[in-house]
Amino acid sequence: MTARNLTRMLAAFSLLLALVLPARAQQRTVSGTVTDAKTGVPLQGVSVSVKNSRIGTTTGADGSFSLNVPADSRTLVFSFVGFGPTEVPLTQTSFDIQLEPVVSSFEEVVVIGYGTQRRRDVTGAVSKVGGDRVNTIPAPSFEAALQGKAPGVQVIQASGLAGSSSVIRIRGIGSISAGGDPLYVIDGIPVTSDPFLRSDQGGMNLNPLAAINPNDIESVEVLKDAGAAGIYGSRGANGVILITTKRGKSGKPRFNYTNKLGVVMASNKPDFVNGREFVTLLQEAWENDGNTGQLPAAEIPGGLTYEQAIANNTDWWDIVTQKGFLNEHNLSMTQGNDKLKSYVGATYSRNESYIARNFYQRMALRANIDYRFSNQFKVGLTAAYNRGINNRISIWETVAAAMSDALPIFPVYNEDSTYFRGGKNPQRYLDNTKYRNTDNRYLGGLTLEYSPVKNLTLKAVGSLDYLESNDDQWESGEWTSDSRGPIAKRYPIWLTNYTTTFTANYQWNPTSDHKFTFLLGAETQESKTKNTSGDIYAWGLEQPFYKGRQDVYKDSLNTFLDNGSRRKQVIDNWTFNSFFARINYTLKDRYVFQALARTDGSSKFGENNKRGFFPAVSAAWVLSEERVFSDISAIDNLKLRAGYGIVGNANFPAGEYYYSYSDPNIYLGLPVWSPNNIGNPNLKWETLRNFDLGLDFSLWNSIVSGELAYYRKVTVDQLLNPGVSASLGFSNAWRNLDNGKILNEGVELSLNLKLVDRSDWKFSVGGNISRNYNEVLSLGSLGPDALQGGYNDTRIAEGYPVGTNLLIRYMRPDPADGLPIWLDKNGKETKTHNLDHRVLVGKVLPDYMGGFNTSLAYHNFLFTTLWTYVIGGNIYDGSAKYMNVGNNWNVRRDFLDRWQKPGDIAKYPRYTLNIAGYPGLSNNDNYNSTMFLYDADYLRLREVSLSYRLPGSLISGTFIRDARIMVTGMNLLTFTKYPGADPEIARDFQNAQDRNMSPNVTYLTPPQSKSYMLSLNINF
Amino acid sequence: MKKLYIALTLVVSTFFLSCDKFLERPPEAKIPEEEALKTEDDVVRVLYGCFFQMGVNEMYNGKLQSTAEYLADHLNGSFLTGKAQETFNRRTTIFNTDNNFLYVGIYNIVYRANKALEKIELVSEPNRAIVEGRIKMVRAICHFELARMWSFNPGYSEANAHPGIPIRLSTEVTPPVRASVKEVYDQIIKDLKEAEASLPDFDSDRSLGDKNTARAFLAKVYFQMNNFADAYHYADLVIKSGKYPLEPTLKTRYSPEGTAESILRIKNLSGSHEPGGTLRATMSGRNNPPAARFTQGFYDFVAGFPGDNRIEWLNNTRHTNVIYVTKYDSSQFELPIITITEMYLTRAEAGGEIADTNPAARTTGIEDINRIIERAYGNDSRNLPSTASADLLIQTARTQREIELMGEGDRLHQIARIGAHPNPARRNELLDRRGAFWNCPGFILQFPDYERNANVNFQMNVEGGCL
Repeated sequence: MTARNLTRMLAAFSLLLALVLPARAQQRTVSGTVTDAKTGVPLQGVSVSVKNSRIGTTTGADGSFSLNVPADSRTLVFSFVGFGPTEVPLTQTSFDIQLEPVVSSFEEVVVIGYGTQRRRDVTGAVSKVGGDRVNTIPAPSFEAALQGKAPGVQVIQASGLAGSSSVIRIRGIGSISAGGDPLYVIDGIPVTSDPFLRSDQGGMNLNPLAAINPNDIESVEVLKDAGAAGIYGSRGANGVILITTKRGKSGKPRFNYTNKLGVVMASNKPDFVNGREFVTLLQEAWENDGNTGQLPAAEIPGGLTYEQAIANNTDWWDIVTQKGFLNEHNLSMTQGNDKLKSYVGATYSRNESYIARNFYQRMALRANIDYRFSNQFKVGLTAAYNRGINNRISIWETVAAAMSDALPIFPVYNEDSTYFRGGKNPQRYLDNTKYRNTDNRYLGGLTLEYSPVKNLTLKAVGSLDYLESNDDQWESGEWTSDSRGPIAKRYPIWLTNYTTTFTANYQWNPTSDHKFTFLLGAETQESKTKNTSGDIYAWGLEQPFYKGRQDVYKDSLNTFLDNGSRRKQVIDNWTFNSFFARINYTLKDRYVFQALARTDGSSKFGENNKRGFFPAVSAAWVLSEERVFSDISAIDNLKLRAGYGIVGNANFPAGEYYYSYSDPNIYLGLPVWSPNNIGNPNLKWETLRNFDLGLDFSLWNSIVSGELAYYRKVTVDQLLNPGVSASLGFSNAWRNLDNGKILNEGVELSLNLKLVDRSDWKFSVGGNISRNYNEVLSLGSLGPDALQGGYNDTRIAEGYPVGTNLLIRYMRPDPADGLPIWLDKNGKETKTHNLDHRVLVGKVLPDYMGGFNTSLAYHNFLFTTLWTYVIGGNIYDGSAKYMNVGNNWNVRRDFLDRWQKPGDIAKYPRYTLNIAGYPGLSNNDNYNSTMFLYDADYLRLREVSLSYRLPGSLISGTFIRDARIMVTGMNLLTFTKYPGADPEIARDFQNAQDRNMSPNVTYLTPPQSKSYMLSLNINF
Repeated sequence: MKKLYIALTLVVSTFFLSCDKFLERPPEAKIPEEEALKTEDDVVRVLYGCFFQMGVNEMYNGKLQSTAEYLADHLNGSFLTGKAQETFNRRTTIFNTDNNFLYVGIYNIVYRANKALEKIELVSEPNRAIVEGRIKMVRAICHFELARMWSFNPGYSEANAHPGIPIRLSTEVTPPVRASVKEVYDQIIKDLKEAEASLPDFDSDRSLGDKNTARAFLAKVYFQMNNFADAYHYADLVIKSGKYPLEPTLKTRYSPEGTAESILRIKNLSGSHEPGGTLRATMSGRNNPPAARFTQGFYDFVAGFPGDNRIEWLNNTRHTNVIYVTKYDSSQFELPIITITEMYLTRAEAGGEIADTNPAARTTGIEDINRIIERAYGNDSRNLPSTASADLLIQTARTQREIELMGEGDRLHQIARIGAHPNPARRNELLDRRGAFWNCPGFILQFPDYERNANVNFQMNVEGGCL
């Protein structure tokens, strides 16, 4: 259907061309050069266009341009980021233009949905991060590098695992079961970013965005409110992240080569007791439990004797970690002439993590081609191939095991040199398994752009986002312990995502005081995900399939398909069919009004709610244009903006509004029908009502600039999955929550100060801080345990923020016997643990977050830092409850502050081998309490870099135009009170609800990495 | 300009053309019910799914048996953690996701059965009666196992008015309400008797159920209710059918080739469906020491019968300080759901119980238990004499059952049944080796919290109180 839509659209567009192409006018050629008025340096990439038309070009590397313009053209407009626009009358054919650097970013061009705007005309909340700023550190994926760089955007980078998925929240979270992630749009294509394509495997959620090459990114724009994101309708509620890739610039072919080399290690090594200490603790617990004498072997894990246990001391952390190496090469080329502009980029990188055997290898090739057939007709091609190889490990067998059940008393090998099998043995796993995920991702789009008449642009875009993903696993015969020997397995996924978009954009300026821009658009999208209904495997294979055994894989696949035990099936399939419109009106270049609306139909929505309507209005008032302010010399620019709109969230699975069946299994030779769900024909998007108020300012010739914003977002009709009667045979059913209401209200401030701005040295500081207040205003009739964060002990409860903790309050150990003293619900001390004592306490969301940066330039040296921080909120350590009781897990050293004998004043209760010895406790899992709730504040030196630009004298006469050497450090310093591995936590999540509710809840989450990197950047 | 308008109109109109079809995209793996369930074959496919779920994904796959073993008294719980530890400690909570998944998994089979029943008109006669019988048999088995795990045994209260489990007889979305145990067992027996009436005499494949399957479960249900006359009657019918020989060795019950003893079984199809996965995962010590480790006390108990070859089912050498049951050590096996061994054990004990009114039943019972003993010892040296009293027969049958069905999840239900025995002389309310009364609250599982969310008046179980 989508392919047909694309064909239909192109056919219609061709028809349009055929009808209107004959209209062509007489032309003349104008040319010239553009330079920086301050330095005299030629400016490359300056936009040169005929005013009020789509006719234009950009300058080459030497600042030159040449342009065919209609004979009746009157004015040329020159614009360039960082420089004020200049208009000159077309009274001559040769021009020597000098552009003045602008003192504010008001003239900066920002990308918005389906177009661009000058910053001063933007009425919504948009943050822009340049491509160079998302490419500074070896983050697992480009979006992780946004941390601290955009106000209101919370980035919780995933662990140090290669290719893991970060949690991005834009202005808080209002969803429960639906995905809370923003919509990612790359060059106009809403792309697949689902971290649950492979659910949760091996302790991580794979990130499909990791394969995207950050070097190709020109800019990232974050649309935060309805005024900006409203144009994405039912998918804009969580904000939209627009990624624009680089395109060709005018001039001769120019090349850029970057090489990065670095080393990676864990940002922190968790501190656990050694083997002897562990045995001593067991002995102590044994005696605490009322026993006497030496700890019997039956109480020692692993089938070890006391003597063996005390003699062993294996440093598992040392075994499962490594010093990882980074190696990255990027080569790109840009060129452009009057007709053809192209950008071609290629990258190869192999970034090892600090975890043994774990690395991410990325190979990418991109070609962005723009061809101008005439002043009316242009074609753009965007094509990218990204290959990401994630050499994986299961954390449960390696780094998490080293923090838990791979005990220091366990040896790697038995005395007879066989592997120790009495308990967790990460070395055995590392030696006997292989695990690799390979993503081949193609992103491509064809744009046809036609301007039939002045100020009207018609654009048709057809695009494809295709992902082929293979998850390969291999286990040796030693690991399988199966008579059939080793096994190779593959879980393939194919994801195809088509989008077709048609837009008509018309600018109408009836007078110089009145400017209108109209946008009308239609879009269709279809996404289809296929798999093979199970793994494709082959016994007896000594290597994984990807090691040259593709033939065996194909044979196995065909065999399974033939015998019906596997089938290629579409497991997810959804469509959107949308129409949208936007009107911008600017009055006297001072008052800007915008109204937009989008209607979305989707195959995800129930029969009774097939289409949603999402309107938004917004306005901006450029106060600095008013006399009262323009007379104040300190004020460069001042803009007030406000907006209100309704956006939606449709990030939930397809096929849930009707009762459905599948038949993946066979019994007695017959494929069996299995019911999937309880259908709900009323299922629809969740709705966000969003108000935004902002003030952009630039003062004292841009010495001070920034933005202050306030927002209030209320989410209703939350999509909800859990909480139906389990005796129906399902524990979940998708529905919209009746009377649910969640508030996110906040203030954001970003500020930049140019403290010194001299030609030989400059010093600036900047930063942002965001305060988000989150509260569940109402939750219908659901009980306190109805909505849980998957694996994690978080809740959603009325009057509390999303992801609050429901815990028993722990006070201290009783000095007399070391047993824990709790508070009951009424605040009275008790020594009996009871789940009824739980109260809502703690929260995973921070009060404040942000980042601040410094930049010191001295001649050719540039020293920059970026610090990120979080204030308020809590970390809940879900794994800690197993670390200070029982004999199955190792003990983190901070838990040694324990009761040991009568009279002891300690932080933690007495050590015990049997948790049931604590009155009222039935198992370790329920040992959740405020004992493991920590302060989440942290300050982290996220980036620090020193770069040196080679002086012109050194490279003149060579082929090199510009060269820079840089040393960068990532996560070198962290200040935190949290005694665990890392205070920044995005663990593996079970599902979207878990992801919404449980950032900052750790369960053996590996710490992030820190790295040192040397990079070389050459332009030639 | 006119051309432009025409062109624009054409372009835009292409997008506004009917898109209704475009907005219907059921994924292949989510076929709408009206498309999936259209024929007789489709109803059968739903029914087959019940059996698949029973043995491969849920329930008898091992979750049910291991949970029952955790609650009972054969295991050493000191190395259990988390949910299993909580179950072992007999203080289960709403957070025990293992038990919650077991609950919803079994009810999912009930849902399937009810859905098939609601579509039964698609099945033509004479198949309809057979399909309907099998559906009801499945539903009864599920309700029975749910009742045994989440409610107290019949005999716990006067007239069995104590709360049982929600009875689900349709797929309608209604709030959960606990029926009384009497109502639950009445429904189970009703379903099984209707199944018995409509099922074929014998299903040679033994994978879908026949009259003997329904009778075997009737025997099991009545036995659980301490209704020995009916238990004897139905076990007797199954044994007398002659279709299920007692295997001469102890090695075939959980083997890849299967056992002839199975009255109902889930066949193993290597690579496609391999039932019993959770049994292997939790009980087998084939590779690593399993979670479910038996106590030295139980080992000594079995070892206290010199010559009993069933001691081989308890391995204490493969892993140091670990005793585990070896029944599930094969990497794949056919899964028996109910066997003739259990019928012999049931008829033997029931025979002793009804000996006063049916003297022949005692004789039959002694013969039955001697078959089990002879197989265990390889000779008749430990056989009961034909003159053995009813009480000795009952005691011997109880002991043989405990040993014979070790690790199969049966012990828990005997603790409950014997604790609720109507005859004080044969009742043992403290059978549990861990020293808990059979009716202490923690012996039954807590319900999932979802039931309370769906019905604020849903009566949850009391937690703990057993240790």
